[in-house]
Amino acid sequence: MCDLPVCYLPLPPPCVRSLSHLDISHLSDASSSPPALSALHSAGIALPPAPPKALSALELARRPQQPVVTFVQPLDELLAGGLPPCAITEVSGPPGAGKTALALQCCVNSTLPPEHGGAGGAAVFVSTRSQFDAARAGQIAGGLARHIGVVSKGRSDFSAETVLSRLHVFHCGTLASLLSCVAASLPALETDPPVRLVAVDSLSFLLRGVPSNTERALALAAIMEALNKLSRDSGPAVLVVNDATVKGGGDEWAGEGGGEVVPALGEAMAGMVATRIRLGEGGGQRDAKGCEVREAEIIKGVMGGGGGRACFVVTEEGVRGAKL
Amino acid sequence: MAAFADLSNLPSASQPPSKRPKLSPPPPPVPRTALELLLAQPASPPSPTAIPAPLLACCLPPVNPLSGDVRLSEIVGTAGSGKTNLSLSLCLSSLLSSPSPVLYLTCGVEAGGSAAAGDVTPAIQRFERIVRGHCGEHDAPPASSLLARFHHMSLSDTDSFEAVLLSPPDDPGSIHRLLPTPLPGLMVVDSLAGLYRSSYSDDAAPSQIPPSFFFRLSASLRTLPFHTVLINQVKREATPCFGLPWSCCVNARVALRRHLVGGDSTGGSKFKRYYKIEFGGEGEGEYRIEEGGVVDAGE
Repeated sequence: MCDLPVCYLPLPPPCVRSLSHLDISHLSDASSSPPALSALHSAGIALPPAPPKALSALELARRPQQPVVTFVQPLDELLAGGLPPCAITEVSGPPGAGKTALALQCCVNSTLPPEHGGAGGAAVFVSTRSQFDAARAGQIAGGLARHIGVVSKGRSDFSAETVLSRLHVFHCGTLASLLSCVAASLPALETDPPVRLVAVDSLSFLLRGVPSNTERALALAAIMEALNKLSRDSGPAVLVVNDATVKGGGDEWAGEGGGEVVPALGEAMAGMVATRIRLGEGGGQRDAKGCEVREAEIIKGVMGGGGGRACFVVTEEGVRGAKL
Repeated sequence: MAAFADLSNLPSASQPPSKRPKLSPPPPPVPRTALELLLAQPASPPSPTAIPAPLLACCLPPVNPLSGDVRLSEIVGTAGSGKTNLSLSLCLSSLLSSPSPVLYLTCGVEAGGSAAAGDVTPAIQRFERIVRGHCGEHDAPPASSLLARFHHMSLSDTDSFEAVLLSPPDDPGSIHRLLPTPLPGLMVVDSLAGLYRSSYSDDAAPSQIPPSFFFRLSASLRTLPFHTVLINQVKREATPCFGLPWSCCVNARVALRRHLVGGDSTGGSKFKRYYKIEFGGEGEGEYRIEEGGVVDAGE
């Protein structure tokens, strides 16, 4: 990689200011900084990507290993402990299946203290479509705090406010702001404790509005590349929420005129994620408390969990395993 | 009642995209903690009407001043189930709760039936009756002050609908440039299915609309700084029109249905009406339609 100082390059003043702000003095520094690469690209300078860095097994073993539990025990067992760190998990399903509820629950659970089997970190929730329901997050956080209170017999100072102060929310209403968020804002975000889970709800909403298949594929690839880099470099688990679509016939719900309900964004998405969870109805069942039972199916798993189903319910306290 | 100016001279919606000024990329989004958002969340004010509380919470939640997020809600049901009545009742509730006006878009066949923009549609007539019915029973502001803040726009065909709602915000024909001042507290679109169904000849037609259209429409509506309620119709077996792709584009769905329970003393039919929030909220129950609008049958 050429180590030319950037001050020797014929760059426009805005680009120079951007690089100065990012503390980039040489081209070699820019190759590992997406915002710097973007600034150089806007000036018409495209750098070759930095060569991949080899990691030893010891370095890999020292990265965060604690999965993020979902609080649905059968699902956690299928996932070998929970959402895997340093990897991307996709959760898909039709509206009302519980995707947002599960994403919020996992965000809250990522703050669970290590002494209670949690990742003991912070979480990021990237909202692209709807209001971030702060009241709902408060209910789920309160549920977790009460659970810790019971388990620790009142000896823990872990509160709902603690959880909520560690849940960072980004709102990205456009594709450009989502790209900017995952490529620049998230890598630069410094929190104490460190982020253990990044949830994007939903990934597909902004992408499905792009009419051109080619542009949609390019945007999806750019976002997933940024998320992959984030999970590899910083170690959080990444959870992306995907919509459902109908494959093979019309716009009907499955079972009414043909077509199978599948995750949106096509088969390319399958190759970009380590784990795929599909949520759906539980056949009209209700649990002992009368809550509607829903089903989570692992349709792709890496951590020893390929296949299998788990039943869960969405209660006022959050997502829990179903007790039938 | 306010009505928009002549829409026949919609300017330059056909201007090629290359000629439109390019917007600069947005700055990276700034995070908030959930605690900050929760503390800034305003409490739900007491309801000024008798609409069932779950419906009000679903379709007209208070807007968080920190996030400014708005909600797209859908009301779906068979003909006669009360979709228009509910949407008009929500308009009344919004007018009574804040000094902001409301905007009602009549789309499709009903809009085209009017000779010109400004003619009184059945929805406007119904809203007048609701307002007078409510003002007559309650200690409410004068009906004229409420009717003056009910803004109406007719979009009779898909071209004008798309020109208004899908144009970039800086386009002179865009909804952003046509909004009343002050900004509305609520917009109702009645109805998306009526507009696109009238463009085709058979029931299978809505599936010809590419899903990307719905996502673009949803994204465009979310750039508006107020909640939007969209009315949708149903196809066979009470399935909402536009299916799964459109379902992914709204935050909440309220399903209305009615059951015939007999006749009344005038020889007409008597119905029991039920609502259910299918997603984006919790609640189901029974409601009635009275002169003053939709009321909770449990009260």
